[in-house]
Amino acid sequence: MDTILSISDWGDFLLSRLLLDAVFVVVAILLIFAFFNRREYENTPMFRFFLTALTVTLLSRYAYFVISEAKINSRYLFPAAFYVLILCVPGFPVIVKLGNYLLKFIPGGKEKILAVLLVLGIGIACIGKALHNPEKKEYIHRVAQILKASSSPVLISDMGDSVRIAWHSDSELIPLSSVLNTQYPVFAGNALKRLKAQPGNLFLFVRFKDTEFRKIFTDRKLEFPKEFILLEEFNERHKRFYSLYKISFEH
Amino acid sequence: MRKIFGRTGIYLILIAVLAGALRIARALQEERYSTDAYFYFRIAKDWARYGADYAYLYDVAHTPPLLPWTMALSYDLGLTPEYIALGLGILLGMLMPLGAFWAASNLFPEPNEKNRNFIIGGRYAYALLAAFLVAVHPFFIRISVSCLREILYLPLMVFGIASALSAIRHKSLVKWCLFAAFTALANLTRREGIIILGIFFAWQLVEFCVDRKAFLKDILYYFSSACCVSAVFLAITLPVMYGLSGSSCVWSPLLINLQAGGYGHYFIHFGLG
Repeated sequence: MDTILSISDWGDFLLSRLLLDAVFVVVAILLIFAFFNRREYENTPMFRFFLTALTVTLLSRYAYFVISEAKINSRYLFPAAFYVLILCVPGFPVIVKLGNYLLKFIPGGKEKILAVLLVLGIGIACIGKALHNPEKKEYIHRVAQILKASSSPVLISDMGDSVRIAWHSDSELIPLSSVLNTQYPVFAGNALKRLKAQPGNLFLFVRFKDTEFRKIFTDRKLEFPKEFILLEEFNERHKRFYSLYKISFEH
Repeated sequence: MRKIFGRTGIYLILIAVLAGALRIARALQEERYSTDAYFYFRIAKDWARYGADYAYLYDVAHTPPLLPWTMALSYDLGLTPEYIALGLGILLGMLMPLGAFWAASNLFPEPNEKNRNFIIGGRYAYALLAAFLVAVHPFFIRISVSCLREILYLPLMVFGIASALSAIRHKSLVKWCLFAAFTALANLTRREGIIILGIFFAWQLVEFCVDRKAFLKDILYYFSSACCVSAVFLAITLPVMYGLSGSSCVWSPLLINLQAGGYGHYFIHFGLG
């Protein structure tokens, strides 16, 4: 997002962010059909209020993204998505009319049945999307269980999920900067000495397999810290691997 | 609204039940909440332990207080904040389709004769479809169980807009007061809530530009509605602001004004350049 008047930024904002990420593509298609039924959008004060609401919301959101240079999170556009959703509604009868035309070629077909099928189809597509949950991240609760079993646990991690694990295990969180590959060897050097003074049981949670994590150190010709004791490796759909270490200074 | 509690009312209740069932299904399936939700959990925990004076010491101090305060109440009930947030999210998620129905029934008061018999609903056909879309919308379902501020903000916004549309249609000052109350509560949830108030004043400007004669004829109505909206909004937000003054929470309904000033400055100096 560069400037307020950039056409490509506005295109990305309206088409990709708003219609695909916030409105949902199946519902957004209805908007195209609603255009052919635009006589329903009467020029009433209510409709003008509604359009003003949509315009002001979109402008304020766009300005916010430009000024703050924040990553566009689709949930910030959900208020605008609500307005678009309502504007999509007159699209339903148009699709049915189109279907009605096609029904001439299907003997015994009925308009009402087609309408019910249409609503059911959109409903099923939406519900399917809503209940599809590919990233379950079951390891969050498993790690939390392990941490909870020890007294006054302290979690050290650079992962976003560490906030979740810390809450569910009621442990103190020491966040690491997420500059991977360079961070860990530094951490293993001076920071480890400092952590000796940290009360509680220390745990390190990293986004690597144990072998990969060790390789970061060996690639830099550093010895893998003997304080790191591997507790468990986790994998998510056999794609991403995570490792949990206990940091022990009792050697 | 007269015949709503006939067959249309039954359909509406069924849609609300469907909305609730889908949100519960998603909540049972979900293993985690949004990362930001944990910040609100922490504020709520500190609020319950130490009160508002120290609740925000480790977090963003201008976070509006309504959601953390509501979550903090969970400790009085012997629960953790996520349960209150989930319960509230599911309940308000169920009510959101009713708000969408109210909004759409005022936006499309008289659908074309041909479109009225779209499956069910008669003149409420569009309103029922709007309620259905909001009930099954995948992202609204997900956000309802995310424990984020949207669980409060979106339903409040939807009811605010619906009451405004109803107020315009029926020229009712009471409904404008209702709009202001929803807007104030939305502002106590997210600072963007003030934008809904901005929509009201922008709409008055639009009305003035569209039909100046009609606007001037009804100037008393427009002026009194503006007074009512401002008064109710301030009556709800200012006591909270003064109640929290001196505490760790520095939320103010006026904070966004500085941001709006920033928008103007940016637009003039960079946007046009």
